[in-house]
Amino acid sequence: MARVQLRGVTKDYDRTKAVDDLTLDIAEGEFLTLLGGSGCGKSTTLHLIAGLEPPSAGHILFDDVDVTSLSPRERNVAVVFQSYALYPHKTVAENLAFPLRMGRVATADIQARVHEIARLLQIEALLERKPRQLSGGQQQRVALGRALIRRPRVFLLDEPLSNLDARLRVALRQELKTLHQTVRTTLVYVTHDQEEAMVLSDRIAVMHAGKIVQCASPRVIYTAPASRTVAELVGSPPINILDITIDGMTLVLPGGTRVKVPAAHRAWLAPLPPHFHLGIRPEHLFLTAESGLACATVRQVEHLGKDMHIILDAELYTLTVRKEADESIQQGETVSWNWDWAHLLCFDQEYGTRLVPGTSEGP
Amino acid sequence: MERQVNPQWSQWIGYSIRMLLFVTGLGLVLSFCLLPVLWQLVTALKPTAELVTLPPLLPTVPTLDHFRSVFMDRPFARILFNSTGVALLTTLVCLVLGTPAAFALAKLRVPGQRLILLSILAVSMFPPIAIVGSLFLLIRLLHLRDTWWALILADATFALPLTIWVMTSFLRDIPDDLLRAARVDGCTTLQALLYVFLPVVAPGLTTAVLLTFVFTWNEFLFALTFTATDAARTVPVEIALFPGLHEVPWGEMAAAAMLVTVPLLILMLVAQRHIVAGLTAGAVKG
Repeated sequence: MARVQLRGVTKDYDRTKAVDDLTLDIAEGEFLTLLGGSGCGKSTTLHLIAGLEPPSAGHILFDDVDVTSLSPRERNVAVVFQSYALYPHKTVAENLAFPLRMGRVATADIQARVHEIARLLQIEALLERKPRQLSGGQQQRVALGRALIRRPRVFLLDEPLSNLDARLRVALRQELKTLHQTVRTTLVYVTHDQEEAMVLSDRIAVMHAGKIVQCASPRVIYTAPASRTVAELVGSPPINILDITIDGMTLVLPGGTRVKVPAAHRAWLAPLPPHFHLGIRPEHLFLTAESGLACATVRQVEHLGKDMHIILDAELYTLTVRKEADESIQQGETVSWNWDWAHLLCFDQEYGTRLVPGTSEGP
Repeated sequence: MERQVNPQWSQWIGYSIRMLLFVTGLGLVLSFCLLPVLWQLVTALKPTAELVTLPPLLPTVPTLDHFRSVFMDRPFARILFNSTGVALLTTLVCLVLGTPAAFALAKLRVPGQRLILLSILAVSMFPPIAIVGSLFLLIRLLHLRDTWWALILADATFALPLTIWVMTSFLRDIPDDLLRAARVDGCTTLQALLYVFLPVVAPGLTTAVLLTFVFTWNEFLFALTFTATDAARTVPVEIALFPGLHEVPWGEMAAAAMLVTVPLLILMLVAQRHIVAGLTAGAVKG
């Protein structure tokens, strides 16, 4: 277990900056997720922490000791790869034993540790098989086992669940969380799947173009995203974004519908620029019989069991509403909708930074 | 009355014609490849008197005289030893030098990777006859004439690029994550090559070994140029030197040819599953 610190870490590839002046503190025993789209630098960051690539600039510290120039072995890190990267010519037992064998651990100890790990991951029955005789989920467990067996100081996972089918992914996700709570090793997890990030992490570092845009708990990332990019990355279905113009004490929606700001929320309006993007999560929109903000047509209804998604077409925008399942709403009907004033998010039109209502923050 | 053609019947005819064409084609190709070999075998077994007469097509009394005389009247055992030694050592040298080179070119970050690979290919493209003169001077300078090392060095000029190319294409198909995993698990680059990549790429390795061995085994020009005595002379050259001033010993030449073909055939048969696996593994991304 170790506390991991990145200090101004940069990685250049030819002309592009894959990771750009990154500073990040990961606490001992923390489950931190690097979340971002493809090419955002999250995997490169993981490789830098692992020591698989040297940074172009900056320092990496484990427990306040500079490890920038150390090899992965010397750092004592373990990595689980998206492709699992099991050794195809070795049996499961040999795969598990390999890190120990390379570390010159005594054979008797190796045997004991292999069985201990196999028991923990419930793969004892598979020890004599070759990786290609295993299912995806089983290969995944072996890869986890091979990473855990050395009792690494830092445990690094690079999209470990993305090659599995949906059901198995959810099951292994829970196991992974339990596993982390058992071993309590500092864990850095890379994913592009916001749901995985939300479910698993103590903290999420959202990355974009080689930089960390926001690093906070899943709750904060969801309710108080630092920018439009972050807001759009988390949440399913994605957040609704509207172009808003302010005219005195009213908001003008795309298409010209005017919404009077209630007295209780006037203060909220004051610091906002005349044009901005408004973000509303689907669960903060609701349909109402009377006194809605505007009317819209139901384009589509998606039933999910307990909940439903309703996609609304208005003049120049679409909205997704999430509410409890209700058979009465039909495709094609016209409904009136409203939003929850307390949960509106405002973003700068040009930079996407969040404009905190009621304060003067912003660009 | 109109004649009715049973559709099943016509289908069957179509099938038979296709089959017939296929078998004929196969037969033609096989005869083209195998008849010369059979002819050699027949010649090797014919008594001298029947060698230049036809009929009989097959030897009336098969004889092993030619094989006996190849070994008794000539230093053929020594020559076979030379051929085996040179081919084995060349293969070994190429593997030891070529595999790490291929590994670096395929998996490590080497500046000018493409350029290096292309120049390696370019080297193997020079026709041997174009370099044999300067190689001769070089080998004389190094006092290596008439030694195995002259041949090993010369053969490496085409065998090493071959090995590097074959191994590079095989190693390239192995995912990068496997190298990363090996390094995280504590391997140095060399250990990653030895413990992880070589076992994984074994089919490719077999292919490279066999190709190198066969090419070297059959090599003629360098072996002819750089040897003067039976100290290092190889089988193809020796067989070419069989004909005397007044007679061509067809029987002995055929017998010797059989003797050098059979080991290769056995080698190929033993390794053929690996080769096929290797060739397809290299060609198809898996």
